[in-house]
Amino acid sequence: MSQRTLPPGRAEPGRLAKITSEEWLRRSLLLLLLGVLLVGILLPLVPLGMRSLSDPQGNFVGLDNYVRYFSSPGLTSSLFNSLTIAGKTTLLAVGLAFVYAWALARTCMPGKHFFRAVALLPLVVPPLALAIGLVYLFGRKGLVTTGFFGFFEQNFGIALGFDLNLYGQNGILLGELIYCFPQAFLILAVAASLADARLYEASQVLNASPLRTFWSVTLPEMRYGLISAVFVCFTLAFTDFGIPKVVGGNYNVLATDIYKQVIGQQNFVMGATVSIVLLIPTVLAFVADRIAQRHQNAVLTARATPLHPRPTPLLDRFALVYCSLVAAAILAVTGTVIYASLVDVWPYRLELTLRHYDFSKVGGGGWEAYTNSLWMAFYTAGVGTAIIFAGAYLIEKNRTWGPLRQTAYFLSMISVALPGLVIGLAYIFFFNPTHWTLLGVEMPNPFAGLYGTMAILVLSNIVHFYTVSFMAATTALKQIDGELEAVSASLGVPFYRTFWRITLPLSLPAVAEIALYLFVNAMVTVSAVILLYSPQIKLASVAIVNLDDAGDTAAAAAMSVLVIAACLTVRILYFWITRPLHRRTQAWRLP
Amino acid sequence: MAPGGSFLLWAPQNDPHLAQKTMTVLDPFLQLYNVHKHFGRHVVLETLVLDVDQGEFLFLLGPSGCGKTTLLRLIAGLEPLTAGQILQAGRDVTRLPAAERDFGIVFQSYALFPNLTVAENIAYGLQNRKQGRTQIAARVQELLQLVGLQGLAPRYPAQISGGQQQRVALARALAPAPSLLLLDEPLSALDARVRAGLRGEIKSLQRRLGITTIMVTHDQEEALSMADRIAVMDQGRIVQLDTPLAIYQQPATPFVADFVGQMNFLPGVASGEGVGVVRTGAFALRVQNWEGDLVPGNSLMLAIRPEEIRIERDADALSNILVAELQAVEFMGPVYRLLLRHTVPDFCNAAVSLTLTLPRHAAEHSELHVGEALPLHLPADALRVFRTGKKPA
Repeated sequence: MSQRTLPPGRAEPGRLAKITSEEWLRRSLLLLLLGVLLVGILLPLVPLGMRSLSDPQGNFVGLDNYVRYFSSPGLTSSLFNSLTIAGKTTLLAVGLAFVYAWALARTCMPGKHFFRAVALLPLVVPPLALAIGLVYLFGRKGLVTTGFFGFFEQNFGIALGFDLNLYGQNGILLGELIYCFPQAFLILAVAASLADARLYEASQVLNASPLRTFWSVTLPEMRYGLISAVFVCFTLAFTDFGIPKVVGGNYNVLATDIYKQVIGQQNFVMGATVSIVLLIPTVLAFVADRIAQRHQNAVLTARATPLHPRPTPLLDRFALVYCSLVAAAILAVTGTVIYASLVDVWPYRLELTLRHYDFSKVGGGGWEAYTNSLWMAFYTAGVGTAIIFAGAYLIEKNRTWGPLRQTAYFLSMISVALPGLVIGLAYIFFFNPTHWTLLGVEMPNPFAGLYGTMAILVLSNIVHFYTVSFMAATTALKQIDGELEAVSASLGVPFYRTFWRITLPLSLPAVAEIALYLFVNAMVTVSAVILLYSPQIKLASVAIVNLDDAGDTAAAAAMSVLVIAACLTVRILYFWITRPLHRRTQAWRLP
Repeated sequence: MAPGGSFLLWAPQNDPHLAQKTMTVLDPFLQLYNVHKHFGRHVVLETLVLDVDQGEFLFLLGPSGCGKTTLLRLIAGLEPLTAGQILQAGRDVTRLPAAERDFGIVFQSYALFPNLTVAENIAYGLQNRKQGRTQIAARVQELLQLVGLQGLAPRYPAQISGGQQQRVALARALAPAPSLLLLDEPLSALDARVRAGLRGEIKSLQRRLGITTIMVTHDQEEALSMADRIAVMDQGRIVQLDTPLAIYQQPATPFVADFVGQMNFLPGVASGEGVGVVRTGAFALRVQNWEGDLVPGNSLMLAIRPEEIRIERDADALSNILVAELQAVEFMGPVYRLLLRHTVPDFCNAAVSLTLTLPRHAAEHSELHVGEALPLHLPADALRVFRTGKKPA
């Protein structure tokens, strides 16, 4: 067949791509998303970086602040301390969580549901509360330090007190360990459950010893999970503020330095400088993790057969003992917080009372702060889930404007590398001034009205917890066949209708999961909001810090219990609500 | 061969209705002019021209990676083309998004909405068109009847069989009464028995509705049994566009010959012994479909279908005889397949494999012994000549 040209007058010549009203809507939404991400994530970092390069009067001084930082031994020792804490925590938490996850996935020990629930319990406990629990156990008047309030001494004549020397490195390490353990466990539990039985059978047939099988099959299978867990734990322990604040004593770390510089000394310039110092390792960890994960092809192919562990009495018993010890430690710390909040005067009058829950005689904001926190968590969950899921949809199920979508994707992923304190400080610099000065030009700040409102607290939380939610949403969307969208388009159905009737219902489990995640984290977080809350809007997690600072530790424990209670209630509500919801919208999953 | 002309020549005997339609409609329903598509530097479709007539059932047939699915997606507007133009019913749709075009599509994966019932799936494209509830319900009933799925309306896709799911997908595509139906390998995910049954159903449905249909497949049997015309594609080009019979009997290239049906290839040389005589080794074969400009000494390729070769024990009586050694006999159910080897001294003593199919009873009466030399008759009118000296892989 020869090539033909279009006969003249047969049809009008091709125009540029026709842009329908639907396409306009799609593009406007994408632009809106990009705007939110720019204002929420990228732009606030600009004044933060600028501030670290200026003197307190705002004159550009180059790297002077960094030179000053690194020549002051008091400050650099904090960097060293932070790295030490992060390194040790990572090693211990990942190690402990690895064995725990392995025991749950690969042995036939009893009580797996219980041990899984206990391992995840610290997720709903504010890190500060963990630290307070440690104080009640190992502090100067702690249960362990005093040998159960002298119980042994009185009855058996032997002092069994044990002083851990809590305040300082030991306390921080112990706190971070409990704080990071569930995060590592979550990642490693998934990795451990993705086992291909065929590989184990092959190894068995080839007569490999259990140890060799572990080295040549189990470890390689779990290596991406291990890498991820390492970076997550490192970042968390490196940037955490709450635990060092309570049990750090004179052991300074970067996060507490930022807080002291900004809140204590009102030295914003040095605060910004330390923030950048804090930011660099976390960004590096983020980049390293991304590079490592890029090599991860599907570990589990579609043809893999799931592994069912077989009983091995010795190993199962070891697993049970091990998991019991870890679970006991977690329960002890959490239980102590609850107990301490109910005790009249620790450790002298152990009568139970609810008087610590009457916050009227202490600072921190009391029940009002608690209600504020509940509303903030509620808004964060509602608005955040909507933005994050719609954003993931626009990025994942859209064909136009490739570079724009990639930018939005990049911003969505990078937020995980931003520590809460850095977000908080950056927001101060970005949202507080009534006027921005950019290259000598002054312009009014259109977002100035947000400062000190609930909105900025909610925004900071959404940004802080954006990436994990975004990845969950993206994963859920990727599981939906792309041809469903093609079919809808061929039927002339606009994309928003398909989103509402098909995409959203199919992703409902993921959506609920994201909302729950945002709620719990907004409830327990302290790092970003402690720099942003206003006296009119006090928050529960901040109240824990302030109560503990003021010596009202029992009230701080009571507030912690309230936060834990809210998170657990929402988790149970989630379970109750999603079950019938599951049944209705996921009816198609049933045979 | 011009599509229109060839169509009339090869109009299926059993469908005067369609032939008549083609004669009265002047313009083709769908016209593709110099359509070009590349992804980055990778050229997927090369300046392609294709006309599809009103009411025609056209197949895009080719191996995976030949660009047939991409071509279908271009026609649907799911993929933008790099250059060229597409007219549908005289309207330039080149730059229109899929939603603004008029077609229904069925994918290999069915792409049924898993959270909607069968009835809701079918109604999905109707609810957008400002139709009344009862009107939609009536239309859904009509379509359920059309594809034979009455009673399954309240079920979810996961609760019905693969074949039933594909029928739902078909009904959903047909619901808004589109003027063009696109089928992207709709049968390849089904098992053989269901597939065979659905073939006939889709074909008769297409006839009844008279809807212009383009179907993508890599299954040549499917294309041969269902198509009005087949466009055989290879490496982003249409290498032959014709009726199933013409493509089977007169493949335009060795690729088509090999891809559609089974084909034996024999290397040979145009001989000076007369017009249409080819030498292959010690044997001279007369060929009917001779192209005049072949000069003695030209090397060429002979092709013949396995079912055209006959075993002739009293070979002296006939010309066009070739002797080959019987290597193996395979029982295939209704037929036996004979694998033979023929050595051609001119071509470095290359051994050429030949395949021959015999009906079961014929084979059982011919007392075949592996290892014996069998005289084979290759009828002159069944032999095809290809100029290229290469046999396709």
